[in-house]
Amino acid sequence: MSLTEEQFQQLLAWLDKDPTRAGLKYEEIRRKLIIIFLGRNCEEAEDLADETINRVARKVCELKDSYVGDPARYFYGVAKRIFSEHVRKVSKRRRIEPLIVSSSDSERRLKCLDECLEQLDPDSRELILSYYQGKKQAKIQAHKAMEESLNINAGALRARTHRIRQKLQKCILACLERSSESNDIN
Amino acid sequence: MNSQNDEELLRKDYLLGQLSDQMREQVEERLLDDDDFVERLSTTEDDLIDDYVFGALSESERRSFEDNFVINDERRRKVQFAQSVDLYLDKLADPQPSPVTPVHSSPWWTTPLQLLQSYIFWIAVPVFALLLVFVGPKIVRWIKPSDPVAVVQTNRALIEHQIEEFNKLSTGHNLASYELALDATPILRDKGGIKRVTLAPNTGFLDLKLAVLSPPRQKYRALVSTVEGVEQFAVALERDNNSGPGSVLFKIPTQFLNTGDYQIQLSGVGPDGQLDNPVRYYFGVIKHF
Repeated sequence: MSLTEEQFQQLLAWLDKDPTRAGLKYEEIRRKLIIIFLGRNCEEAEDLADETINRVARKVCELKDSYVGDPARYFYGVAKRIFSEHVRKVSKRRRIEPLIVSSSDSERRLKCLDECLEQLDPDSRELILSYYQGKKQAKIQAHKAMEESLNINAGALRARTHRIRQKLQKCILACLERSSESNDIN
Repeated sequence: MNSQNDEELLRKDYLLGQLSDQMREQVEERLLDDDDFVERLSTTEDDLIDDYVFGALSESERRSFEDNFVINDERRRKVQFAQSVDLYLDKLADPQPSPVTPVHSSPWWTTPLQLLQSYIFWIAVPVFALLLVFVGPKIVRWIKPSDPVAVVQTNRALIEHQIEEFNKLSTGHNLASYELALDATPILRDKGGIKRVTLAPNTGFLDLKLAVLSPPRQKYRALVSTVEGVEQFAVALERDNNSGPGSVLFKIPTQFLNTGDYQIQLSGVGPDGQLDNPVRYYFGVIKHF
């Protein structure tokens, strides 16, 4: 059962009085719930996270005056209950399809990757391509050389490439969606 | 082993589903309380994916990765991303060799003189001309709809038309809307400065009130892009007299917005049709599905 607009607004108000901060807190809690459900091997992690949020939102009228503490903890408690119910319902998990990409799909991906790399600033492009250069031991050596030349530690290098990678993945996803939309129409 | 490595190992085992229930709950509680831990977990995900794609996982880790880690679309996309980068770099490092062309016995079409001397050429030219006249236009019509760029442009034109129509109607729909006032900003937004709206499932429109500092125009053009600069749509807007001289109302159907950060470039349309005084506005959308 989905939420009413009023329930949703009450939930946001419970998270924070400022609507922008409440939106960010909501998003953060949802992200963490998804990680938790994935960590418990639930394929439907996003649905379960939404169900957790919906269930909390329906109780928020009672909670807002009585509950003391970080709301995230309350969400966690509900998430654990939802997980137990889910385990009882799902007896056998579907085996995920192997990670094989068809050649036409792979061509589309490469085209999008090329397009998205072009959109990065030159420094970021060089950084991400250098980060992926080489295999196994050569890669490790290359990362060490990058850390030295940029004068940063391994964690900082990974954090930096992580941000570029997120940007690229987002761009590639949008590019693939555009190309599959045009295929669908054809 | 130092504590940093211990934590790294813990994150890796957590993601591979190799912890006991008790240990897993400890990790879960930590990720609720410690935002930095969540970020570190996210970079460990990247490392794990790279190790899988580049063949650096042990056999049992690889099995755990496939059984316990790649269980949703987002993670699959991340793996496919790493696979694409791997392939891309392989292609960069080892481009396909160009086919070897024979030096001797060049065929009749390779030099202009031989081409003109060939009787095939003199037969082919009129046949090709006839084909061009009679079949050409049909071929163009067949090809045109399957051109992906043309299709994307058509889609965008349809979206832009719909948004323009919605903006012409000030009322007349029963859908809920979310109102947001935005100021023009000459500076780049940061995570703390951008206004974000959280849209409930039944919110049909995002009603933006864009503050305008320059002398008001009757007509405006709004170009909406992601903050990364990917254009989404551009629409013509007319200033509503009810909104006052200092602002322009812009109604965006929420179906055309995804979760993410956006920028709007609003330009006035001068009497000569030229765009002037462009200003930018930033906003973020969080959609609740």
